[in-house]
Amino acid sequence: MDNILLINLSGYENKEAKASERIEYNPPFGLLSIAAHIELHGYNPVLIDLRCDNLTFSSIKEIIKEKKPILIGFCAFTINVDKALLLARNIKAAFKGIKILFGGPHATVQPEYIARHRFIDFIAVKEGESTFMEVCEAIVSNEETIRFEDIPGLFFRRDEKVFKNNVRKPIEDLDLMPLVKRELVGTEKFGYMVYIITSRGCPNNCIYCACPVLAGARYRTRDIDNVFLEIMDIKHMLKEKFKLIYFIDDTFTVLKERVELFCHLNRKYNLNLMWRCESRVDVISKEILHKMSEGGCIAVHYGIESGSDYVLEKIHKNITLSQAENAIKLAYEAGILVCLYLMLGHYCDTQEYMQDTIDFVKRMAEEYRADISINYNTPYPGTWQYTHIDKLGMRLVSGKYEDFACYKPIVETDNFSIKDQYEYYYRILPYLNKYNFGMEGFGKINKDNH
Amino acid sequence: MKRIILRTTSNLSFAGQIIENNLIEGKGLLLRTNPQYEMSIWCPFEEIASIVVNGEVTDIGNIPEDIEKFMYYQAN
Repeated sequence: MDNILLINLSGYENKEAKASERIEYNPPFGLLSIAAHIELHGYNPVLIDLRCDNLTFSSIKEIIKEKKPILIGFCAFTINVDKALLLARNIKAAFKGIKILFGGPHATVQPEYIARHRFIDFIAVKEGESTFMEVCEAIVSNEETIRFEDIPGLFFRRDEKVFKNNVRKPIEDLDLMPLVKRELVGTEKFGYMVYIITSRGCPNNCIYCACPVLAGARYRTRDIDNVFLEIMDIKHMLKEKFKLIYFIDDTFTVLKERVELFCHLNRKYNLNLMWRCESRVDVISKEILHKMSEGGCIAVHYGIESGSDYVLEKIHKNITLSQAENAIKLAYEAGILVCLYLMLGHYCDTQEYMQDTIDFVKRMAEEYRADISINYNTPYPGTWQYTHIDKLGMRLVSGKYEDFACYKPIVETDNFSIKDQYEYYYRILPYLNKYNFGMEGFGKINKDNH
Repeated sequence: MKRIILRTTSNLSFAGQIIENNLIEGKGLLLRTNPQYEMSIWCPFEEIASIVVNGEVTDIGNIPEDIEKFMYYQAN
């Protein structure tokens, strides 16, 4: 059985952010999904998550010596791509014969950035499950089964030249994929909250989001029966420790019948699981929120992004503040904690519009006890605003990808500076993350009020 | 027996060996993806978009007979 090493790196440098990753530890989904698919094909995935595995380079080398992987895969996000490249360079220097593959969001949005490094053998662009597995088959068979040229979604290096294959189409039927195996990272690492993904893709075109480029514009879903099977698997693995599901799909509530079926199954099988989900204010209703509340939902997350209708229109969010407040009010009345995401530093922000955002946050926190998180707008590669950054009048104060972290501003315009963004953030600080944004028992906050 | 790769119409690939008696009433084939286990995956012909055998990629339409002939040819 050939070993395949899969490596995920931390995105954060500051200790506080890294500590929060540990409290809510969940393994990286991209690598978990690839691990499940290659294991189905007889390979042995070995997953290293450097967010929680505090390994030195020496200990990583020891693992490689022991496992002798035929391929090492890295999941690269913009924030950690340079760290991943550095680690890959050192691994290649120590183990020249081992092939290295990069996948993940940054590999999809900027494959050329990675391809220029001569120690990288392969880059998997977009969804990597089939691409990764076909690369394994090509390596093991010495390209007798399949040639690298014939693997869609792959960049590969041959004789010092980089070849770019055709794009691989998105997986249409997500239920064909094997269930992910979380035990690959060790069950002791999990807390009480487990992340689940039930869909891929997003039809919206918000200018700050790379989702349409990464997962495609078409919304694809798993059957709820299939999702429930995964939940039963987690329950079997973590037993009583498992108390809360977090559906981290971009928008869990698009198809109401799926949500209703999940609520029904959660009650029918008496799992007593609480859950939270990401949603949009334009795909929610009083009726579905009440069903969600009865079905165990304790929190719903809305991306509002700005307290100005003008800014919302400019960033193509396709919602209004009136819609947002209505959705927040309905969730509050249904006894569900509302968690809101907003940003400072949109290209069209001004001092006045950022003050509108601050005023909106205060009002939502006071009237609806909303739990609020504010980040700084960050023009990630793959987003529309990154491609048009000059035209939009945005100036990056740092070109280092490790600074693309959302928790510190890196953009200014003629209308606001870095300092301005910090000032508005600190003005609103007492209203942020009041209920610890996901910690145990938060669901009771609103329910106790009704 | 050699491993082949099946690409489905859902754009997900599976690799493995076609196990013996693979053609169930002419509707599809069974693919053993992991040689260490008996488990195999049922692949209906109409869901197979292309097949990769010996490094050759062949696109398949929705005609089960063509696939059947092709598979017999490749497997023997």
